[in-house]
Amino acid sequence: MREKAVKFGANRGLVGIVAEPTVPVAGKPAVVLLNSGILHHVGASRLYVRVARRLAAAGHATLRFDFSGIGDSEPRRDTLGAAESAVVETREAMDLLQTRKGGTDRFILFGLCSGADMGFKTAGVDERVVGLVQLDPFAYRTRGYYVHHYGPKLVSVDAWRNYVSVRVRRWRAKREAARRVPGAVDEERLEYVAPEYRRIFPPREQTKARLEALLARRVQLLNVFSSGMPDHYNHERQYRDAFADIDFGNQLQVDFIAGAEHTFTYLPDQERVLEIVDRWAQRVFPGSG
Amino acid sequence: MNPFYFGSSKSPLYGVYHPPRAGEGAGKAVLLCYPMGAEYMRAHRAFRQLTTLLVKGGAHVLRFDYFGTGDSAGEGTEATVARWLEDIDVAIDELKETAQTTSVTIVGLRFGGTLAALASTERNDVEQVVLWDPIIDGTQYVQDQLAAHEGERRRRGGPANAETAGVHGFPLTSAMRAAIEPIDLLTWPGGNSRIEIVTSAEREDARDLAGRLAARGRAVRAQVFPSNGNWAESDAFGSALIPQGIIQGVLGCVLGDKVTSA
Repeated sequence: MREKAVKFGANRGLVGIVAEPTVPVAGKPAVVLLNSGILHHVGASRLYVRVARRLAAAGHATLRFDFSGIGDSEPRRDTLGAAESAVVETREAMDLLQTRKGGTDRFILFGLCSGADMGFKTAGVDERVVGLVQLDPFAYRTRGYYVHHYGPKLVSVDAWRNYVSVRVRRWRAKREAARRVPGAVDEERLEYVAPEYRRIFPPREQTKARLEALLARRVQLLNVFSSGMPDHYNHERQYRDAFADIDFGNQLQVDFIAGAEHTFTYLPDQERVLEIVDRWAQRVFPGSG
Repeated sequence: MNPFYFGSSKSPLYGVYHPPRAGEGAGKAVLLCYPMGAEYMRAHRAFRQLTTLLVKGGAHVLRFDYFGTGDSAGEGTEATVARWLEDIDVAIDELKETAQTTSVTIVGLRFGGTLAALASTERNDVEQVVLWDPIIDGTQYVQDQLAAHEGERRRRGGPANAETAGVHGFPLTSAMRAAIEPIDLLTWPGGNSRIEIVTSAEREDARDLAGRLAARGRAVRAQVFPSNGNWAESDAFGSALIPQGIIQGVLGCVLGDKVTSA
């Protein structure tokens, strides 16, 4: 495995790291890793570096890079919005890998949270995408979700106590907000940059239609869920149940790492992610070499 | 801006070199030393902003990842303090060669400040070292890290006294703990550099450090720039901390009267 820093994109303002196998393996798609929120291309807990190196060692060329204005990349000079420019820049990243020596026109997009959303969006418009790895992607509540959510709580004294305390906190917060001067700025918060991307899950039917389009193109899907989106997802079967009206055939693998944080901070969870991704890639893209 | 790998070809380091903005003329060469662990992620954007301001002020800037961190070679579990000090040495030489200068300024944040201080001790080409919210007491720092680990261990399980403790997503090995614990900057003799200690709040240990260094005849100045300094905090979504007040303070220390506004 060897690594090289690259600049690319319309004004060569995008920065990334190509990690590629020392000996190329024929038939392996290249992998592009997409920022989650404002975390730069190293990824939460350095997960992207480790995933990229593991996949490169397994024969995939990989590129982890920063969208414009994030991490090491320059801001764009045009007025394209972040959701649109992310798709443009992901395609530029694919172009870069494709035109390198021994480049391929088959790609896997990998992303956590907003990175997963951008991968999903790009996969819908670029037929070079043959695989999609999404960590904590769009999810939809099912009857099973509510059973898992409320079932254990109905018989727990602590849960009822917590319920009352949350209601009181919300009421206090509401009262506090009503007292605040309209338009007042909390100056302390200006020093924090939280992800500007507001994650809005599209309607289920829209996601279903996009999934069906990807499946028709024979795109392979890997979804890994953490317990970090408790308002949206809480058990392994939920994704398949939410899309019970889709025939995924052998094109979907879903894993749920119970207890994991959204950014997979627990070290054994990171190992699980690495192992899941590595095995999935070897199973569905064994290469022809 | 030039992202590149440098150092040993077996275990290269990732760095980004930023030349001075055109027309500003040749200026200082500034090496930025990141903090460690999750604080590295939290500080990345603040370092970008500081870099932008330094470059506007005519400085050459190199920011880089230590071995086993960021995009540099190696696993986090393989990193050692001794290796990181060597990395700073290599980065200083790389920056001097790239910027065609004979001396550098080092700015280090948190444990990066501690490393910057230690790395500057024996060198004659570090004109100035800026310790930004530095870790002064290694034992206390390790205890704080282990407390964060213990919280996670209680939630998720795992053996007590593990060889490698996970701290907000990053490994802290027993070897690393053993190397950090004995570090006490209050006993640091200082080197040939001018020393700036900048903190985001009044700190008795920082004042003490400045007093001791002054008593040893070192050129030292301690300043407080009230700002958010909660580098050790962590959240589930990876927010960044960009404490404007102290960034301007650091900028002033490095560029003096050449300070530019954001």
